[in-house]
Amino acid sequence: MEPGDNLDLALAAAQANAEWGWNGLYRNLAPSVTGYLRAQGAAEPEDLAADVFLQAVRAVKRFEGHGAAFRSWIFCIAHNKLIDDSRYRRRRPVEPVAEPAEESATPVGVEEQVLNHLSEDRVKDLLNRLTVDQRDVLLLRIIGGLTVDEVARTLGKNSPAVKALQRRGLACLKREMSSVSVSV
Amino acid sequence: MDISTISDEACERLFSGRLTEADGILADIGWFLEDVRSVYCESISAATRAMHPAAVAAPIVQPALWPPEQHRSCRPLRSWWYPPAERSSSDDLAAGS
Repeated sequence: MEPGDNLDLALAAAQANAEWGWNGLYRNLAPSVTGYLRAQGAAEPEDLAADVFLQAVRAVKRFEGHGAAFRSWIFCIAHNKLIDDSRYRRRRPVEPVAEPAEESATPVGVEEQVLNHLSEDRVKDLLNRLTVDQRDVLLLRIIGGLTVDEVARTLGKNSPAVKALQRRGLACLKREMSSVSVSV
Repeated sequence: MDISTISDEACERLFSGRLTEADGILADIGWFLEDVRSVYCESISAATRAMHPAAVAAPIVQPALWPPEQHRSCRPLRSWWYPPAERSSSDDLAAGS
């Protein structure tokens, strides 16, 4: 395990302008930040994630707290960037451009590709059955790994409201999953 | 048991991946949460990997694929990474000095 794998150490190093600190923070958090933005339907999740880390770089010296609080802070930035990006795109719709197909580092068989695609479709379909607030809460908990209190601070709600949204979101998922299994 | 009455403790066990036998009603949701993580947490594209600081020593790649009119946030891969105080030294690095 490298020092950069420890979020507390990586944060302290990043605040001291050590490159390995930023390496550690990025390695730790970029996958889940990008995944959260992608799950929320961001048009360009990697670009948006880069904007999130750019803002974090600019503001990190003013940040006070340990690694877990930094994680919460990063997701707060990501959530706000998502809202800003949605508003921007509603005002300035652009034609989506097909990106070149990526070459996978390891060859994936056709059967596995089909199974992966079905799994992704199923996940997207179930998440789309949630309300916006329920999806925000559940994705911040599932992908961001945030606690109820951290989700509440990110979304500007109180903890009881977040728990209620969480419970209703889980009930909705359960209902939808049960109805799919009955119809099969 | 109606899932809408599930306890806060059971919810926490669900999100931390520590469901017990008593939480049987949540088992399929637990699998779904794993599916969500599997779909979204590991799908980091080559473009994102290219923005990792370890890649900043490499020359700026493929500008032809990032025309400004198609990518609002198009920028050289290198410049955003370093904190403002270090940007001049990274520019020197870019110039090959």
